[in-house]
Amino acid sequence: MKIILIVILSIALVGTWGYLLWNKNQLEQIQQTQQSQIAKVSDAKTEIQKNFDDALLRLDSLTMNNNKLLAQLTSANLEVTKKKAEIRSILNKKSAFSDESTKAKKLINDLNTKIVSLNNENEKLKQDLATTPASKTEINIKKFDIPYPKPSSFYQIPWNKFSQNIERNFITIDSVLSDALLKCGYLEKSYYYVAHGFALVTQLEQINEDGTSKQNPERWSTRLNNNLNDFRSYLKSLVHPPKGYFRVIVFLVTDVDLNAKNDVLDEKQAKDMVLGGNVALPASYRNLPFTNSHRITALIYEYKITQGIAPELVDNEPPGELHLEKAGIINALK
Amino acid sequence: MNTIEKYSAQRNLLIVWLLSSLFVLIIFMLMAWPRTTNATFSDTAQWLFNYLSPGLTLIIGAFVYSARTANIDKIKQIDKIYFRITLCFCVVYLTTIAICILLVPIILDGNTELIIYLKNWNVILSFLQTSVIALLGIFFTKEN
Repeated sequence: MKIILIVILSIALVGTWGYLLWNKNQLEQIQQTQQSQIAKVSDAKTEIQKNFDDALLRLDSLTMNNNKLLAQLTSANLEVTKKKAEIRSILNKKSAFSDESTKAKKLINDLNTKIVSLNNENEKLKQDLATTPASKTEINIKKFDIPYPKPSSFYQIPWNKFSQNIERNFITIDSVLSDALLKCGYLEKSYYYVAHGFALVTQLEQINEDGTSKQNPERWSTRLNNNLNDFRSYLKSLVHPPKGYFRVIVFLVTDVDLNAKNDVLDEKQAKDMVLGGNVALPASYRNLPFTNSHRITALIYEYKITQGIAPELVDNEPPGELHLEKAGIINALK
Repeated sequence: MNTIEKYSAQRNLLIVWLLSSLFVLIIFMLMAWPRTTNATFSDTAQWLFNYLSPGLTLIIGAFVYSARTANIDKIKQIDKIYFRITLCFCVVYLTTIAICILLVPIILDGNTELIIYLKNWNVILSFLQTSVIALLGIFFTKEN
């Protein structure tokens, strides 16, 4: 009886294991199918997002060109109005009609030439726009979302922190920022698109608690320094785990209203940001004007990492301005 | 055949388990307390208790039962080889848990959570735990 019971239990046990294995296999297959479906949907979403970003970028570029053309048109219109007024005044002067008529004729001719020239220019622009291939206007740059993920702190850099005799366009602003970053030891940076401007992202660096950068090579290492030199230091690190502070700075150059959302940019995303963007400012961006309404805002993402605990975003400690000062960027801008 | 009194063998095993578990528990608390948050500490502590409590309760339960029937159990003898194999496996198992905890400051980098690191040891510890529990089961039921 006992033997039969043991045999039955053994068969049941083996059967259970067999079922579990079969069931696990089935679940894995379902999971794989679902994952591939998710990946497909995600790819399609990314593609649509990219197309949307490209379209926004083209729209921005066209809007800026349009504004430029509008300014030209306004100035031409003013000139035409001025000439019209001049002609009218000549026509009104009856006494001096014969003397002034030659001048009036000349002005009318000028006016006609101007109108024809404007008309030609308009036609040419229309033709250019129609014949420009999509690839030429397409600017391949990823987007930095606004509202942006909640930063640790931020600082709007006042214009007086910059040298006052610089040209006000994107390439100059970029070179001033890039030179300042280079002076402070930031070798890698990355560019993203934001509406009416761009975002410059620095690489993830390790800093001290007060915001000063660590010395190389520890500064660019993503590992915490254990300092395990002897048994005593080992015992110390067993009870007091090593901690570290990491920072990414995002410079936003734009004239749009800036605000943060509640999403948190995790440390891995921040680390990957410098590898994800463009290595230089796209050529079509360089001559765009940095207008009076444009601002330069630095977003600071600071993470505290304790061995064994997931990285956490530090909240406004130290404040944004102090971060830029301690990093040496404020001084380097001058 | 070389034999040993079963009651004293059980007592020796109990002493090894109690002292080792106490040592492991102390270093685990010292190591895990600053490396966990309030939310993750219970998961981390549960990981340790999953590996210590089955063996410990089995040995304590069997020893309490033996203590109640001490006069009879003192007559019972067991082959020394069974005791030595069981003791050896228990020591290896408890040492592995201790090593896993003591390696944390050396191995763990800033990007891995403590519980993830500890779970990486699950395969080897589960295998050792199964072997130790099976050997303890044989040891407690076997007698000459």
